[in-house]
Amino acid sequence: MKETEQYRGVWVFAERKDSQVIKGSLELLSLGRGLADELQVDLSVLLMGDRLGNIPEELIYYGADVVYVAENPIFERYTTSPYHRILCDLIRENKPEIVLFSSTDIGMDLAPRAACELKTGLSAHCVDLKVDKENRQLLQICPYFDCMATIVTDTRPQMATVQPGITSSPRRDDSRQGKTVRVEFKIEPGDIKIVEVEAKKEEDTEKIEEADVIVAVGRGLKDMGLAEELASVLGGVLGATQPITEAGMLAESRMIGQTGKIVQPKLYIACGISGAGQHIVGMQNSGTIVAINTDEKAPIFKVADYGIVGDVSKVIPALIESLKG
Amino acid sequence: MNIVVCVKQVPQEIRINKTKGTLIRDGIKGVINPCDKNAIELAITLKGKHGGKITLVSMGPQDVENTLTHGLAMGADQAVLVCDRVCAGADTLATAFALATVIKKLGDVQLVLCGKETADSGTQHVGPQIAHYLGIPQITYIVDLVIEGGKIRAKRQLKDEYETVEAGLPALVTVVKGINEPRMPTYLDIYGASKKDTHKWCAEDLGLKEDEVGIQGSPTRIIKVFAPEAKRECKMLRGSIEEISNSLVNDLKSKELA
Ligand SMILES: Cc1cc2nc3c(=O)[nH]c(=O)nc-3n(C[C@H](O)[C@H](O)[C@H](O)COP(=O)(O)OP(=O)(O)OC[C@H]3O[C@@H](n4cnc5c(N)ncnc54)[C@H](O)[C@@H]3O)c2cc1C
Ligand SMILES: Nc1ncnc2c1ncn2[C@@H]1O[C@H](COP(=O)(O)O)[C@@H](O)[C@H]1O
Repeated sequence: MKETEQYRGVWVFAERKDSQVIKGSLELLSLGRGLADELQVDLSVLLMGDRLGNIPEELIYYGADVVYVAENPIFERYTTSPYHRILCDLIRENKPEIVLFSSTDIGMDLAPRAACELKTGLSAHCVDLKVDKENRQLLQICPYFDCMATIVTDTRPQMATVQPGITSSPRRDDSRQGKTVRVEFKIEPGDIKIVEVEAKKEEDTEKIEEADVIVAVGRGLKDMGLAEELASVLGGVLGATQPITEAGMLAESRMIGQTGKIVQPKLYIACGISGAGQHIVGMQNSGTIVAINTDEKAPIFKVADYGIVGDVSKVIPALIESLKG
Repeated sequence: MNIVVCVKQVPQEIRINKTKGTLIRDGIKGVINPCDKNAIELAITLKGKHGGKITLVSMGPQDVENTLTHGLAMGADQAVLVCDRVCAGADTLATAFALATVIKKLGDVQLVLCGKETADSGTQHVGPQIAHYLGIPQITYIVDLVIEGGKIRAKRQLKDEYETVEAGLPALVTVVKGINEPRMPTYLDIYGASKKDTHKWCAEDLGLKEDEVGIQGSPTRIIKVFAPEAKRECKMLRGSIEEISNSLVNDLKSKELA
């Protein structure tokens, strides 16, 4: 038997905040369920924390076949080494063929270190996962500059971090049955001690992820006032690409994309935005998308419903005029 | 206190060859990855307080040497460049292995600084993976760091919170972009940098075997690069600006979006 054939099953590392599974983890359950069904194997979830209550059952209702639960006060808040230890030991023992993480602060801290210990491949910020059934190979699709790349791993398990917001949460079905496994472990003190946690104070408190209309500004727009006026006429808010927030033209909390926020407004107007993969993952699920760009070939048009090839500094005033008229 | 800063050279401008799907490197200047510059600046501050030596470590082609000069001119003491054809095509695991091997060979290193992510590949993997190879704690996404009584106290920037943690030394931290203002070297600094050492090591110097580095040592493979497919039918609006904007606004109004 080839070594890779000893590996079977799809695993998801679940994160929770207080007593709730985070949305990104539910999305992983949805993706993981699809992959497990295609490969005809179980979907297992690893859940760590303290006083986890009924979260394990909830994970089963959302699609897990097996939930591995590691419960202890030292897991209350994430630190690298205790989480890393449990995860790697369980993977070595159970040999899953695929292990998925969300590309959150925790996922991005844990997954690379685990992949390193397990001497296996890891792809980052995947926006889609497919499977080549014959070779049981996970096709990991990630942004690659302004293109996409498909990455594969020959070693096992195949590990990937997945961008939150690329799919929807699975339906909850409380008639689903599954198994909860309590993980046995020896407690070792972590090498890092948390001494203080403080909430971020945002000066700009606009919650762009809750807005119905977003006017998004890219490097092609020089006059922020125009975008503000358009947003105000539409009753919307301003969003931005990374170069705009990095230049300090808008607050970082308005950045949309892989590093920024995932948004799904009813209307998204992209003003002078090229449409890099890292931006698109943050806005592609919006209701109606309008793109204004001087470059007819700009990739943003591929995710838009309406395209206007033209200079934003001229198009926006005309739109404001038509909206008022 | 001896500090290593891992520095990657990235293209100043990221452009893609649309037909080949590969990064255009020709004629584009290589620069230090932005947050790696913040890491160098932080190292200089720490050296000012605690003394010691700053070593820049990089893996990449020959011309990275010029980029490293910038870091030396900022104030690092020496640089090591891992430069070998067998190291080409490395993924993050193979990169981290080579860099960790250099750090072990240097010996007596108390602190390793990496950037949070690179501007060209941006995986955020290399820092934690080096930490694992060295068997030391990792503190990711730091915005502030002090060393007191042989211990690190660092502030991490998370999505909604700041988390302050303590760890012993040696340790590895990854630094967020923009946490400080990286100094601009003067002509005199650059002249001074030309007198500092840049050691060029090949795989053999480090005792690295061919199957541990480069493409062979990389478990991940890119099998396809493609333009994202159109997800929607894009209606291109044509005509005069007034016609375009009126027709768009009409459509938006009929969908109750405006
Ligand atoms: C690890 C990593 C993470 C990243 N995360 C994010 C993220 O979360 N969010 C994000 O947005 N980016 C992110 N980026 C950056 C991303 O790759 C792009 O660089 C960025 O999205 C480009 O922003 P832009 O479209 O505003 O600028 P550009 O790419 O420079 O595009 C400007 C566009 O404006 C058009 N234009 C110019 N003049 C006019 C005019 N007068 N009228 C109309 N159009 C005009 C041009 O044709 C061009 O298409 C990330 C990059 C990396 C490496
Ligand atoms: N080839 C390299 N040489 C030196 N340091 C690197 C290299 N690649 C990555 N790094 C370091 O690892 C960090 C994260 O890189 P990445 O995992 O590519 O996002 C960078 O900011 C650098 O500090």
